[in-house]
Amino acid sequence: MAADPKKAPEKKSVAAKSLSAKAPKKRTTSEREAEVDANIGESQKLRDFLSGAGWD
Amino acid sequence: MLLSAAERQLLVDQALALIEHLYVHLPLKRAMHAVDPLQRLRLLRHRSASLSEPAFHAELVSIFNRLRDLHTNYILPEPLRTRTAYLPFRIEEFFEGQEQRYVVTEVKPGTEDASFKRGVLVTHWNGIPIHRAVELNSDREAGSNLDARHARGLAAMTNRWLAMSLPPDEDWVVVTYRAGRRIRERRFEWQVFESGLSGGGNDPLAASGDLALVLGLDAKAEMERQTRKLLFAPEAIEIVRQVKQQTDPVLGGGPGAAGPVDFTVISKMPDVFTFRAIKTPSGQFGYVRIHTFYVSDDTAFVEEFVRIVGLLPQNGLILDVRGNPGGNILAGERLLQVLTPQAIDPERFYFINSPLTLRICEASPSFADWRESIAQAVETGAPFSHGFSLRPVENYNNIGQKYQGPVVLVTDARCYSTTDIFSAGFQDHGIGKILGTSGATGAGGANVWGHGLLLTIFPAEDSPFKPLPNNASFRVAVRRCTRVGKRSGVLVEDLGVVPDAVHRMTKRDVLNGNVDLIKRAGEMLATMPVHSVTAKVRNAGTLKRVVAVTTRNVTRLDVFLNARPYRSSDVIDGILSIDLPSLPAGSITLELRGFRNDQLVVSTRVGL
Repeated sequence: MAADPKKAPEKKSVAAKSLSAKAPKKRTTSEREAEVDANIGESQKLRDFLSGAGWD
Repeated sequence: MLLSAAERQLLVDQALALIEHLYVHLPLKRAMHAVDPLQRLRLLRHRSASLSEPAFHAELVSIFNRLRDLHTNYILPEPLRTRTAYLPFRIEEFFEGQEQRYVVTEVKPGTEDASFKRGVLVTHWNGIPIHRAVELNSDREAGSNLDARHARGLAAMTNRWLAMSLPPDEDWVVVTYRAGRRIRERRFEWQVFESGLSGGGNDPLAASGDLALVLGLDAKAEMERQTRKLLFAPEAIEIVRQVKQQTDPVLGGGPGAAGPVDFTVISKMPDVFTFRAIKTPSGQFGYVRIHTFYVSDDTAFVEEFVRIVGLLPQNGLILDVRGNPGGNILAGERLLQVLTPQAIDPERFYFINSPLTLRICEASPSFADWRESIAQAVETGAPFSHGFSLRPVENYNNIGQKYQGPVVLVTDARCYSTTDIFSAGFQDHGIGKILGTSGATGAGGANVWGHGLLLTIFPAEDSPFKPLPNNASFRVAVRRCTRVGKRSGVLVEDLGVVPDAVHRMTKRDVLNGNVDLIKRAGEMLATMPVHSVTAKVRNAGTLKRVVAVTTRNVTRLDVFLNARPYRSSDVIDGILSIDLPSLPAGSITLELRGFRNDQLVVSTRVGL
């Protein structure tokens, strides 16, 4: 079981890709706003919610 | 919608049963925080009829928060349980010398204007200096140590899940901030929305099956994490949707299915992992962020991590678990093995000794290991059961080391429970160095159960647990854990994990991708040795198999076949060949263990 010092250690291939290279097309602020509003659904003011919940 | 007098009594009685007979940290919390939750609950039962609805809930929340235990909570009933109150921005802190500063780091799209935007410094909150406002808010939070309470208080300034936080007292907040050289003010109304899970996360109160038994999670922080994605990161939500479409057979996807997502740069668990190769002044390293351990399948979790680190540079890994609220304890503890050649000794878990914990251990074979010592307590007087790992020790070592480079773990005070346990295991097994942005992790050292789980363990009419009104609930720490190795027996709860080095976050960190933090982690990695052993099998499928082994920084190589010693040799770096004996066809595992100065430094397993 003799080692062969002439042979260099194997190097694993490295995927050094940047995430930004795969990032989707940049959205406008209004597009992002619409997406967030769609994701969270309807918001209401805290006071209105608490009144409706009987917490006043 | 409002609770009747009988329903209030029921809530208090159930809280008493949990805290008095099941809560494993009660002796610790009485000593550490000088609290008497049982007497406060008895007083609340006595006085509850005279309290308004908000005052009743506020007292119950306060009793639990004063335990300083993010595992042990009162879950408020509907409609609060499913709502989140928010302000449309996030603030984070950084340090200028010894001074803390607070900066807006995220703004809900559509909220920005010419002066209020990412990067402005907040100076006052409703006229209160911001550091004092955060301090006041922190005192209302349940974090175990000062760093953790501060972190929780800061998060709750703008984001409150009403299942576990009382609604803000104020309807709006006036924020004073510095934009350039000018001081400005802007008023923001608190808004409420129904806490959705469209970001791809799982309901932190809905763990079921085996996961419910092995949970170590700050549920509130998990929901806050998901809320932040919903409010500020629509791109991340979209990636979650695309990955689901590409991988879910029900949606026409599956393993290897084509689609827009490139899995060499995006995780198949995008809510759990993000990763990339990262350049630092000290070299290029791998970087993996684990956002949560809250996964139902711990094996799939570990396999995805192994896939990811296989794509990254092998000379060093920055493993960032900041803000990770925990989740599946098995995921955290089973992950340790892939980063080290050492055998993993999992943490031990203990019940408090009581007639109720004895009933639990008699009711389910899952807890048979604990039964005998609890039954003996009447004679031994021991306060806690004996300690056992959650699963047999083989479960924590059946994969072995998969990443051989050095690792720096990055932690903060928001790391909790499973993340505490993972960090403790990382330190106790000497896997690498820990770089903290706080003086300790969040210090949650237990397995937490929900009231709903107790209802399933005790379904009978004589059960001490009863269904609760309006979807109210409780969570309670039932099995505390202790560390292993040199710190054997040390509690994780309230103490947390102290890092090897502390890096105070800079303004560049919070606004520019953690650049100084990563530079520091890179400097640490550059001082750590790289060891490697890799193997390639030749003549696979024949009886005369030969293995070509490449070693680096290793002076001795031990070879095992199916866990039995085969040979041991001194080696120098390079490639060597090992002739394998003729072995019958079947599942054979070759394991190579590399030593330097007789210390085990690296290992690899190969299936033949």
